[in-house]
Amino acid sequence: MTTAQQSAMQAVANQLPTSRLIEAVRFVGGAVLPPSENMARAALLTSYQEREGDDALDALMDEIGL
Amino acid sequence: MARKKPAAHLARDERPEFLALVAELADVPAEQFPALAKQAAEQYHDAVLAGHVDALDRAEDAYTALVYKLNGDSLRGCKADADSAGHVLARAVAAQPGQVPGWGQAGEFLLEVDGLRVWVVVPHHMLGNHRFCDFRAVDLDKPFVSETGYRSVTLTATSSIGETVDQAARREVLELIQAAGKLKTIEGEYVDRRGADKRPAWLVDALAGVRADGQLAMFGDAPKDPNAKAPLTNAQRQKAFRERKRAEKEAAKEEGLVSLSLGRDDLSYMWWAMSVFLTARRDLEHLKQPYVRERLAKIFGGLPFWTPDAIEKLDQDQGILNGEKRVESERKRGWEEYEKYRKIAAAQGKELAEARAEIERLKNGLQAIAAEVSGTPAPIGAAVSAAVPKADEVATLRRQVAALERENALLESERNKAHMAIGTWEQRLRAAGQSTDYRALPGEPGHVTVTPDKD
Repeated sequence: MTTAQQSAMQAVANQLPTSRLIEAVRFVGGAVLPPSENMARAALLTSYQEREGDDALDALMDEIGL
Repeated sequence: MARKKPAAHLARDERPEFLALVAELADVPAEQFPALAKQAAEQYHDAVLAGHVDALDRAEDAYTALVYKLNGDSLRGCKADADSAGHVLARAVAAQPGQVPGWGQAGEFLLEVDGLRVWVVVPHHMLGNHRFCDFRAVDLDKPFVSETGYRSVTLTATSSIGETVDQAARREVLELIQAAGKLKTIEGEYVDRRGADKRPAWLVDALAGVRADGQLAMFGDAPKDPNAKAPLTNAQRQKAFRERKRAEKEAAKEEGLVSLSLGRDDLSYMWWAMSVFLTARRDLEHLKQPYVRERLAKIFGGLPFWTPDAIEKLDQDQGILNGEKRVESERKRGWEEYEKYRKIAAAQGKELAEARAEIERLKNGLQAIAAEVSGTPAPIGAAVSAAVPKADEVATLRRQVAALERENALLESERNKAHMAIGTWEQRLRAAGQSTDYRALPGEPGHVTVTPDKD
């Protein structure tokens, strides 16, 4: 995955409403995933962190067991 | 008839033979004084054992001359303080604590006479004939030669000819016992004053392996360690256990913890349950994977590269893999070039050293020939010019320098070419919208996914 692809994924994640971000992250869970899913989860979590802060991110990651 | 005038007494530092010894020390550095003092003390000891009175006096004079010189050509104040010459040399000469000193030494040792253990302290008196020794009781609960547990005696070197210090001390103890008729019990006041805790470390060590009756200590006989943990009775141990448990329970209560007592079966069951849970969870994650991909496709499916084939190959981008290969091959080639020229330079250095050695050998040979022909060695300059013409040597070295400069220029141009090639590849990658980052990108082998740190 190139930097450009990664940026494009981040841009898509930034457009999602927070509730959908949380729902998607909970569904994906904390398991070890293939590269594409892994990067998608990272993009979702980064968006969530930018909106809600570090503590909220920690709580969400604890919840999914990551 | 006129009476003969009596000989006047001369102090030691006025006697010519003593002053001659002092004069001999004029050029001796002060660092050698301790060694010389030891030597004098050994001679003194040997003289006492051999009964050689003249040697005894000479050794005493030699030692005193050292003190005299070190003290600034005077004996006055030579033991004024711990750093004075008399004490400095006495410490240098002294025996190790616990070892029987020689006649010229100060020291402390343990003496056992018919079951009576005595701590003998021999001070240093600049090798004088009289030694005021201390006899101190070791076993304060047993009779001693005095009721104070202490006795000062005088050992005289000239009266102990042929005896070592411990033999003389033993004789003194036996004479004291014989004179008193029997040993005396040490009074309580002195027992307290000379308590066992006032013993020096060497004496404690010496007593550790020996019982009061002189027998070697067996297991359990050695002195008890004062810092050892005192044994508890069963009742005390149980009480301490209950108190510890109560404290733990209260601490847990404050933290909101609940303590559970688990038996072997409980623990086995718990481990089994955890194992089942983890296995089931892993299986569920595996089953869930297609649905995860489907769900993410709903979010990211609009992206041009999010197609079923492309996302499978996200970590197999050929362009990036090729770039990595090229960087690796360039790095390897650069290293090989460096190694190659390093070896060449090392070989040339070796050749140069050999050439220099040969020149040196020829110079020496020429000198030998000149010496044989004329009877005098040829000057070095002449030998050099005759052996190797100077102009030739300079020309050789110039050729070597020119060759090295050419090799360096070649190396430099190779490196520049490599830089240009990398620049071209970077431009191509940029034009194709690809990353020029040489590190592993997400989805590529060797890439480490960095997710925001929870901590």
